Formats: sequence, structure tokens, C-alpha cells
Amino acid sequence: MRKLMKQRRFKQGLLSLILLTGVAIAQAASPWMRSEGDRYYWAGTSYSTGNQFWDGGNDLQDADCRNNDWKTFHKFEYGYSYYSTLVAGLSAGSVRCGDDDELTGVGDLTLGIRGRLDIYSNGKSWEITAIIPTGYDRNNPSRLGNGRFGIEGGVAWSSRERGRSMLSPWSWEGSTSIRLWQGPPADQFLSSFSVRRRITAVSGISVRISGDISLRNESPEKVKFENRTRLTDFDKIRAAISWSSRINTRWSYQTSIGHVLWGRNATNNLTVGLNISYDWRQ
Amino acid sequence: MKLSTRFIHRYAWMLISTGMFALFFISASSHAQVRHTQEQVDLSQMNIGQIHLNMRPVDAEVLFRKDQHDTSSFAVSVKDDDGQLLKGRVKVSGSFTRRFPKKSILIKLDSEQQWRGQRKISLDAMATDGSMQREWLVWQLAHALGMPGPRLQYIRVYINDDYKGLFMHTEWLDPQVMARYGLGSDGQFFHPSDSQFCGDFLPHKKNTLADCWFKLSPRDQDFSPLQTLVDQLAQTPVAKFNEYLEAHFDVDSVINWLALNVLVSNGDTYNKNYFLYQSAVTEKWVVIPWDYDLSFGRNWDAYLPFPKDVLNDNFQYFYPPELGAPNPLKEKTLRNPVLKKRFTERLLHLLGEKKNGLETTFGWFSPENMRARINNTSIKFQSDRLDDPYLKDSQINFMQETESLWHYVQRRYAYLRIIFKGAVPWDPELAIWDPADAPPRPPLSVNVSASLEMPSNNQYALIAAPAYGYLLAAIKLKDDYGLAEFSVESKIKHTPTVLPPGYDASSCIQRNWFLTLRTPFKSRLIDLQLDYLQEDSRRQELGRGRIEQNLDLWALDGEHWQKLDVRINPLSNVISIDNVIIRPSQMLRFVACSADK
Repeated sequence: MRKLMKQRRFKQGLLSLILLTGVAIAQAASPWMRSEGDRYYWAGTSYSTGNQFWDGGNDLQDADCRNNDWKTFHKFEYGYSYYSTLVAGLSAGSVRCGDDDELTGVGDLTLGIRGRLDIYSNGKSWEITAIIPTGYDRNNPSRLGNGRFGIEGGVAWSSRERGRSMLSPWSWEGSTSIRLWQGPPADQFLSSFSVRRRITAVSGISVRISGDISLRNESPEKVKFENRTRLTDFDKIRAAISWSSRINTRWSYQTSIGHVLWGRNATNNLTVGLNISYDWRQ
Repeated sequence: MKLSTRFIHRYAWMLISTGMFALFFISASSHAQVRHTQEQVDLSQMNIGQIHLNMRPVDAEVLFRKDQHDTSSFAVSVKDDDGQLLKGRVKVSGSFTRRFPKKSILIKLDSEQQWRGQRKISLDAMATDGSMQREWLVWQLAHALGMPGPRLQYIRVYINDDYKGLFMHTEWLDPQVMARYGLGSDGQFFHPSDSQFCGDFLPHKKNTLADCWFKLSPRDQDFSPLQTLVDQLAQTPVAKFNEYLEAHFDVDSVINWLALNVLVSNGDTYNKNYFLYQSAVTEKWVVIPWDYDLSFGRNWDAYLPFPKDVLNDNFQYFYPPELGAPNPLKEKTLRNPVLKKRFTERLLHLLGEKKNGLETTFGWFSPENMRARINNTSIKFQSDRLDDPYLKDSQINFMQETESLWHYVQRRYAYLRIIFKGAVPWDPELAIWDPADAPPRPPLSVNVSASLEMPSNNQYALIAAPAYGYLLAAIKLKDDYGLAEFSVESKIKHTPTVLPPGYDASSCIQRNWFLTLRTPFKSRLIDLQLDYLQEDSRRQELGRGRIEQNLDLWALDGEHWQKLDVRINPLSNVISIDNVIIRPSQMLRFVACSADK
């Protein structure tokens, strides 16, 4: 009996772990192309909490309950050829406000292709991604994704070329994209910029500013919690500081802490995160 | 390419301190009168091949210009000798050399297609070897000695009919190549990992063999033959090692491998950069040498950051035979009296000192023969190199690189003669087999002098000094007046105090040379080479920020300074002056200073 309970707990734990791998699609586009045949796996998990939110008039309000959100995201990249990298991602997570109303599940699946802006170098790319909702109820006002098909197109670039020793310890990375949805509540403009200072040969610290801006071109949808980020009808500017390091030639990790600076229809959360990645380079 | 021998630079002083390099003078040529026939040296059989590749134009552009770390492949067609197109994929090969504009490339043909009997075509850009001859010379010698290994050919590479330069086609080393040498194709084929630095048979690495070695054939994960080998090498005492080697190895392949490495000062091996094949036919191990771009005087620098630690213009010719990573196969072979004798005889045979083998290899590495070989090889591909889109702007560097090979051979020959035929021969029992155990080097600050009586034979004689260890100068007597005696003094690592007008002491090489003609009555006509030291970024006499190429050489005859026409070779650290007339009992003082203060 005890053994059965243990097995059940293990299965529940495993399921939770799987679900805890993602929510927000908000993964900034990467400027990095994979070599033909190379594969890359990235998994991140984050915890966000806060008891305030930015209302529709950009005013900060106290919430009735404290947010406690776990989110995770899995990403897999494959170098199809020198000119194109295939990208797939899956988000999942758990959101909760106060003691009740917990929601756990899988978010959206993303499938995309990345190409080179400069065919001779790495670190400058374009990317087009299809956003596909998974089986969650698109009519649930508290769902884990927008519930509609979307398509995102953008560019990303970096001041460094991967693996190349740089004279300056400083480098920067930026990305910008448009996310179009098949229906309401709104299309989005996303952008991010980060500055990195190399500390050792394999590690560095970076500061990142990111912004998600709603184009407000559709009709808003009803949401369950007033104090939560409203599907795609929100604006949010966020700052984060992170430490990244290569463990060996294949494994890397990144830890980060960030906070929302300004918003509209968005939670005012503190977020901590941990990412790991594995690189199957030839 | 990365050197495993972090501390090879420590070797030189040991020779000095043990007195092994008690070198008074050496004639580089007087003992090497072995001249090979014209056919053997002039390389008239050296045919430069051609290979035509077709690619999408954009792929062809990208292949040579893309991010150095990218490993993508591109579609390619290779035109075979019958004009048929063989389809396959091409990608940039190598690791360290990927940073150079001229990339080495590897073509893998689709199944069932072969070019010159192989599916893989390896085209080496020779980017780290400005002379483009190191691999070629080593493999010419290896083949002359009968060592198994790949065929090499200089080859012109065309992509979409555009000339991409001269490459070296190196036959892909696989069991079929070994079968050509009667060793069968079903043996065990291993190669140490280039990035792990542990293919050295040391017993404590016995359990990490799969990390240290690639098994090339058969394609399995059975490393038990290597495990057995590690055990045997550890357990066999030095005294019995000749018997062990006879029973389990192709002894000649080991002796020749060591001889090659010692001749060309290859320290970038013994834990990588070789192949090992256990023949199922002979049931013996065979060593196949590999990768000789860091040889012939090129020297790794422990004090410079990557990639300057490898890409520098340091020069050495004075490291002893134990140079390289610790390895029991090397150590026990050289410490076993029977095998050491065989090794020494092989070296002396190749140097042209004592015949003990084939006529065709006697004196193969003597300065005379090597000079002819180096010159003739460079002449052979000179025009190809001039048209090379990646190298055509580096002709001066090419000439210096080629000359530095010759300077190296001159000096290495002299060094090896001394340590194998000198009064205090090299003793392996005094050698330090692990470079990490070498004690710190003493500082360079000495006054040295040496005298040399030499004939008028129009050949260079090298002059060094006891208890110093490096060369001071080389003199070629060009007149017909018979014997002459010269003395050379030097202040080593010493900023000149007497200077030509307008120069600052800080702009000068930190060495003074004093040359005196001791023979009375007649003035003599000589060519002169003056050496200075740049073993690494710390042990050198360049001073601060000298641009060697801009050095001027000045001579003071006691009263007047005279600026001389010289050739500076910043790679071999040799200043060459032709047609110097020196009067009896006259002492000429030389200083080399840079005009760019």
C-alpha cells in the first residue's frame, strides 16, 4: 500500500514537474543560429509573486490577494542547415492568488524557424514563430495562454559572435518582434535589450530591460482576476539582472531576478528564475 | 592545435646547468658531406595536383567567411579525373586553424562515390605554417624511412573555377591505408583526443581511456587493447623494454617516430597528435605520427594569452630529446640501452654522421640536403603561392618562414651533434621526463665568448659558447685564403651602452656582439649571421616593444659607426649580413637598434 502511495506521489511529482515547465510565451527571440545538425535544449523555471497590480489607467493598485505563480518553459532548437534553425517551445505553469483559485496546466506550443540577417556571421537573425494553443479551455477567463493561434515575427541581434574571444568584456543583445493573434484581445509589440559584462572566461552578469506593449487593436476580454496580467491586452516594462555561466562545453545555467517597472493591466511582480541549457555541438 | 607541453621552455637551462651543451664551436657542414642525388633532393617528382569543386555561389562565399565555430556543411560536387561530378558535402575542418581566413576543408562524398579511392577528401590550408612545408618535409622523411602513413600532395583548389589557393591533400587515414602497408584493415585503430591531452598511457588514466582516445576502427567501444597496453607499459621494467617492444610493437615505427620528433623539435605530442594501430596481421602496435605544424623551431609560449601562445614568433632549437608530454612509451624506449642505441644510430644516420641504414636516408636531415630540399620545395610552389588569394600579400613573411626552416635545421643539427657526439653525451637518466617537474630556469645575464678556426669552404660554421647553450653567430668564409680564426664575444641580455648616433638604448636588442679576426696578415671576406634570443615572451632580448623588422644593424670599428645592409629574420631571430670585410686583429662591435623609438 505504502509502495503504491509512493508511486502515486512520484507520478504526481513528475506530472507537476512537467507542468511546471513553462507559461509565458515571452521568450525573447535569440540571435543565435545553430550549426547544421547541432541541437540545443533550454529549460527555465521562474517564480513570481506580488500583491499589487497596474490597472487600466497605469496606476498601481493593491490587490486582494498575493500572486504566487510558477512558470516553466522548454525550448528545443535544431540546426537544419547553415541558413535555418528550427525552434520549438512549450510552456506550462501554475498560477494562484491567495489560498484559492489555483490553476495548473500546459500553455502554448511554439514552432518556428530562424534565419540569418547576415549570412556570414552569427548573432544576427530573424525568426518567425507559430503559437499554437494546447488543449486548455479557450473560454476559461483564467487560462494559461491566449487560447488562439498566433504568429510572431521579429529580429534579434548581438554585438558579439559566439565563442569568439572579445577584446571588450562588454557586449549587448537586443530583440524586437510583433505578435499577431487570430482574434482578440490585442496584438503585441515585444522588445528587449540587455547589456552583459563578462566576469570570467565562462561567466558574466547582465542587465535586461524588456517591454511588452499591446497594440490595443482588438476588443478586451473578460478576465477572472482583476489583478492579473490580462492575456495580451497589457503593457509591461520589466528589468532583470542575471548571472550566467558555462558549466562545461555543453551545460550552462542562468539565474535571474527581476521586477516590473511600469505597466497596464499587469501584475507588479517580483520574479526569480533559473534556466539550464544543454548544447549538442558537433 | 594546442600544446600539451606547458613547461617545455624549462628544458633549455638544464642543458646549460648539466654542461651537456658545452659547445665551443660547430661547423654546420664540415661533418655533413652527404649530398643526395639531384633526384632525391630536387623533388622533380613532386607534382602539384588540382581539384575542382562546384558549389552554389553563395555557399562558396559563406564557406570561407562564416563564423569560425560553425560546423555546417554545404552541397558540393567534385570533378573527378574523368570529368564526372561526384556529389557530397563540404565543411570547414580543424579546430584552431578555423580562425584563419584560409580554411582547411573536408569533403565527404555520398555513398558509393570515391575520389582517388576514398570517400573523404581532406584539404589542409596549412594556415598555421607560413612556410607551407612542415608537414610535407616530415612526411617525406617518414615515407623515406618506410613509416606507414597518408599520401600527401600539394594541390590547387578551385571552387566554381576560382583559384582558392594551394592546399595539402592529406589522404584520409583509415584501415585501408594501413592495409596498403601489409598491416591488414581489420586492426584496432586509435587516435588520442586533440582536446583532452591524455593519450599518454599513464597508468592513472587507465580508467578514462574512452575520454582520452577515439576508437576509429572497428567502430565499437572496446578499449581493452589500450587498457592492456597501458598495463604492459607500466609493468615492463626499463631493462626488459627492448624485449617487450620487439614482441608487441613495430619497433621501427617507435624509433622513427621519436627520431622525427627529436629532429624537428615536435613537443606537441606524446599525449596527442599520433595514431596507434594494432595490426591483426602482425599482432603488433604501429605508431603513425601526426600534426607537425608546431615544429622546426616554432615554440609554444606559456606566458601569452590564447591564441598568441601558439601564434607567436618565438624560436628554439635547443630542447633535448625528452621534449614533450610524459609518456612511458617514449621514456622507457629512450632509457633502455638497446633501444637508445638504436635511436641514436637512427638520428646520426639521418644527420649524415654515421651510416646505419638505407643510402637514401643517410644524411637526409643534414643542413646541406635540407637546405636544398627546402629551397627546391618553395621554388616548386612559389608561383602558386603568389596567386593564392589568401596569401599573396604575405610574400615577405613566406620568405622569412622558409629561411627560418633552414636556420632551424642548421642550429638543430649542430645541437644534436653535440648532445649525441659531444664530450658529455645526452644521458636519459638525467633527463626530466615530466616537464612539470622541471625546476625554474636561471636568469639570462652572462658575458660569453668563443673562438673558431675555420676553413675557406664557403659554408657556415656556427659559434656558441660553453655554459651558455645558444648560438652567438655563424660565419661563412668566402675567400680562398685558407684557415681563419675568429672570436666572438657577447653580452647577453645586456642593453648596449655604446650606441650609434641618434638611437636610444631602449630601442636596441639587448645584446652586444664583438667579432675579432685572430688570423694575422690578411683581411677576410665573410658572410655573418648574428643570433639573438626570443625563446618566449619572458626569455628574450627584444626589450620593450621592438619591431624586429625595423631593426638596423650598426658596426663600430673602434672609431666609426657604420650602418650595414642586413636581412632580419624575426622568426628565427637571425640578422644576416653579406660580404663583411674584417681586418686582422680588428674587433667589430655590433648593435641592433630600431629606428622607431
